Amino acid sequence: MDRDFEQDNDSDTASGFTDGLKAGVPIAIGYIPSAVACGILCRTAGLTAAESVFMSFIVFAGASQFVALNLLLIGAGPLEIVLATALLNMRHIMMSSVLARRLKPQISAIKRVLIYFEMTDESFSVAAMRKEPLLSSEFMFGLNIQGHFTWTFGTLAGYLGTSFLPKSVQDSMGIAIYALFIGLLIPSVQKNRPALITTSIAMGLSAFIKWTPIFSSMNRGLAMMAAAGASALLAAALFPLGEEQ
Amino acid sequence: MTKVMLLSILMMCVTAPSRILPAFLLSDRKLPRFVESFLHYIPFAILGALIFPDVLHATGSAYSSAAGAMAALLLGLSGRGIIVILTGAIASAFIAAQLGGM
Repeated sequence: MDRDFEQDNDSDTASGFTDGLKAGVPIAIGYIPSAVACGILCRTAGLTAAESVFMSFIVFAGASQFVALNLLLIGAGPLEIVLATALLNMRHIMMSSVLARRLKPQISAIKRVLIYFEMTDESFSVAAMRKEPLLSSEFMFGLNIQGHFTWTFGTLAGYLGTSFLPKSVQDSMGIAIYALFIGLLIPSVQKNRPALITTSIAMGLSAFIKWTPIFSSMNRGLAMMAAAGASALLAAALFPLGEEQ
Repeated sequence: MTKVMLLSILMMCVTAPSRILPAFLLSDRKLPRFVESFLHYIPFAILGALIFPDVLHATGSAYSSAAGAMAALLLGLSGRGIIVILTGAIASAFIAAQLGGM
């Protein structure tokens, strides 16, 4: 039903800004609980409202902000915080490498910088799972702006204590991001056995790292990159793209 | 400009390059087949690593998180759209949390 976002005229390219906005709706819903939680944590860590909004707007990386705020709370120095952020976000290297080959070649360098600057796990996942081989800048901006806007204003709402949702509903909404990931994954892996195997191996490795005592303290961003990287390497070796692609 | 704002800018400075630079190094090249294949499988690998096992901590209780994830899985398998999957998962997690709390 609401899966058919693409326009009729140009089926090779995910085109319009409105398509992007529509595709970003699930991301916006998913961001609400974490953004509100981020705002609450900002207040706890002693930030002002302006600082909280500023951080959410320019850093725009949920996990990094949570880590940074927790480190601030325990009195860690800026070097440690910046380093933790850098490690956590190294996983974006893989994501932007993939997106690089999906953006329309005509998109200008400045627009590309803006598109990648706003890229998150979620916008990457939505964009990468689009059926169209090429993505337009309008689509990407529509997609990114949904999340960026919700994240920034959700932080403010959480900070001001107007979380506007009962705690129980907000907790349950924590599942939304994962429901989005699951919803994106299923149609692609249902008809693609190598993709299903790749995903399963990544899940197994990710769980292995998290649940094995010696690895469990590993930075989560690095752990994810290791798990995803290893399983994609394995898949590339086992199921190289060939004539059928 | 406060200390936290300065810190935010530093955080941005180490976050943005990993988002932006690889794209410019890779965009217009013809890559070896192995690298093409690797890049092709990355989205599936990343989604897998993002979902599991962190999904079990999504709502603060493993029980309601599992209920939500299961609903998302079933709705996804039955071919529903993403908004239906999302609301179904949230509703299931909510109901499970309420039942579990009794």
